Amino acid sequence: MYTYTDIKPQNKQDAFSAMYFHLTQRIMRTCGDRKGERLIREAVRRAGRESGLRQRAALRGANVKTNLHNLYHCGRDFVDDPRVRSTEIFDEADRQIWEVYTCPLADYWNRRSASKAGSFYCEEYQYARVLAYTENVGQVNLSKLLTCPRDNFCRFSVFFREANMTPERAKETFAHCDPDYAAPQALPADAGYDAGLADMTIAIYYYLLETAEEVCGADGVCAVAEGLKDWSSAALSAMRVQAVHTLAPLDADFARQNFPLALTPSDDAAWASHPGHNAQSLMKTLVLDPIAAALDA
Amino acid sequence: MYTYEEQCVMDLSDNYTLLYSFIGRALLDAFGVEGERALREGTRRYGRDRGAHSRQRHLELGVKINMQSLFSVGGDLPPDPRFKRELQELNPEERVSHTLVCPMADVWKAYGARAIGRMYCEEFHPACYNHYAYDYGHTNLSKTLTQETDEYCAFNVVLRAENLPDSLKPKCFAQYDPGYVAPAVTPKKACGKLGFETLSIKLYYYILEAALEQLGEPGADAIDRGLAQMAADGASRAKATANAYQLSDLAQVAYDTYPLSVTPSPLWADYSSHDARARFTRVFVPAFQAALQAEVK
Repeated sequence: MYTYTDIKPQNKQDAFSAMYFHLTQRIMRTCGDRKGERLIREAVRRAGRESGLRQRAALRGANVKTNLHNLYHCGRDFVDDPRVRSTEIFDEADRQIWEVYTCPLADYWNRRSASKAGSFYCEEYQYARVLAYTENVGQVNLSKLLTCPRDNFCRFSVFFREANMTPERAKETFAHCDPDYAAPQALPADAGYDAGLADMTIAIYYYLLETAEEVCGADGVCAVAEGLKDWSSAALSAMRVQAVHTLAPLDADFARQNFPLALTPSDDAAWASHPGHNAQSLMKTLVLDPIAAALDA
Repeated sequence: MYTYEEQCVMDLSDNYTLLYSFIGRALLDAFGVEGERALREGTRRYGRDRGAHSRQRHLELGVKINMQSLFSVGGDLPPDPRFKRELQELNPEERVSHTLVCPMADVWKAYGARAIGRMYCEEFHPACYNHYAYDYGHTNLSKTLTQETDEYCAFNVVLRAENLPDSLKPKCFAQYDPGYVAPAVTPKKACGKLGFETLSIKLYYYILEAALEQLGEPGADAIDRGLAQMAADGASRAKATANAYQLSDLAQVAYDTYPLSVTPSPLWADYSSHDARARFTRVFVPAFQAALQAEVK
């Protein structure tokens, strides 16, 4: 059983999953299966690359070794919601292997017959993230994924071998290759759950909009806009139920704790690094303002 | 008990497998991580060569360059009766399978070379399969029998049509090539000796090439030491097979069961740079012949 403290981040996570679901459904319907898949995969890769590059820069800035252990354990830009059930099999600087048995993202998409669109996210995000972090030297293996009807767990095996990188990169990556290295006293903290999820929501949305426009032009933008309207309506419905179920008033404070984006965009720092394509304005007009208006009513 | 023909295929496979670990161990013993660097690079080049060769053969046959073709059209090796596999999915975009028994992993473990075999698994499969698919494939091998704790190999090799540039889609997928009719391909019976000799020459050649580039002549000297150890081991393995099948002509058994022939093979024609063939003739051949003579006595 979950506590109130656990339920709120779950609701936020589900709202992110809902955004991905509604946007990708509209994109596939409007742009077609082929172009839709192409642009969704590319959008997820862009978001993954951005995350990998950002974390590498943050770790470098803090004088932390940019190896796989630290990619997955230090200064992370996103932390799991309480429903994730996983086990770590190898936690090493050049090898990270883990399995996931319960994934709220997969659960959300699978229940809505959206496993295929979900699998685009699974196949591309970590792959792009690790390649960016390792300058294309790392290897990501995902042989099992919960968005595949065949599988009942995810299995990630990620490698970044000293023998596959330059001696300079090895020195930056591994303490044993840098005899004078002294780790910083204070390691970078993980992003807060709320900030991490807001970043992820904005990045995925932004790149879906960007690639939709690139591949399908105005039709692509319209598809994303229609998806945002669907999401806004679904998010409001979900929050009404969540408020009733937790005996809480549906107000701005409830939205702040149960919806991944601030209703005032200036409160989410991630918008500043995603300034193009009129993305913030579109989100405000089609999602944030209607939700705020409904709360006021 | 296996037939002599089956035993020959198994011996050819095992000796090919041991070529990798004998040469690999010599490089690692002499150079540590720098030896590993050369070994991994040589393995990748070898994988790319095999991928490019398969792709060229498939183009000549008129079949599409995709996962279904890669794993079902015209294999160049006869089946090893010890190999056990569960095929889960085979379609133009995906080949998903579990390897339940891998004779290569078993041989490496028996020779205390599991970690060297692991390098082969990490480098060969992605290099070969991804390069076959114009470097747009993605090989996921998140469980391997050469990795401690893993109980099977989990292959999930994918080529997503929508991750290809438009120019390659018709070459890879029938649905992008209107009017395409798949040719009838008659499988040829694979010859074990020819197949494994070809692979062994290529594997040796590319590791030698990478070692010379990265380690210079001392790298090639280390490989020579590996070849000499391999020759002694190969002769004793041939003798074991001759005894098991009560055959008196040890030279013939050695020819049947050892992938590399002592008489010059035309298969070296494209792989004789870097003095590769001359080194092999100078180092391996006399050592192998002497070891066979010793076994006869």
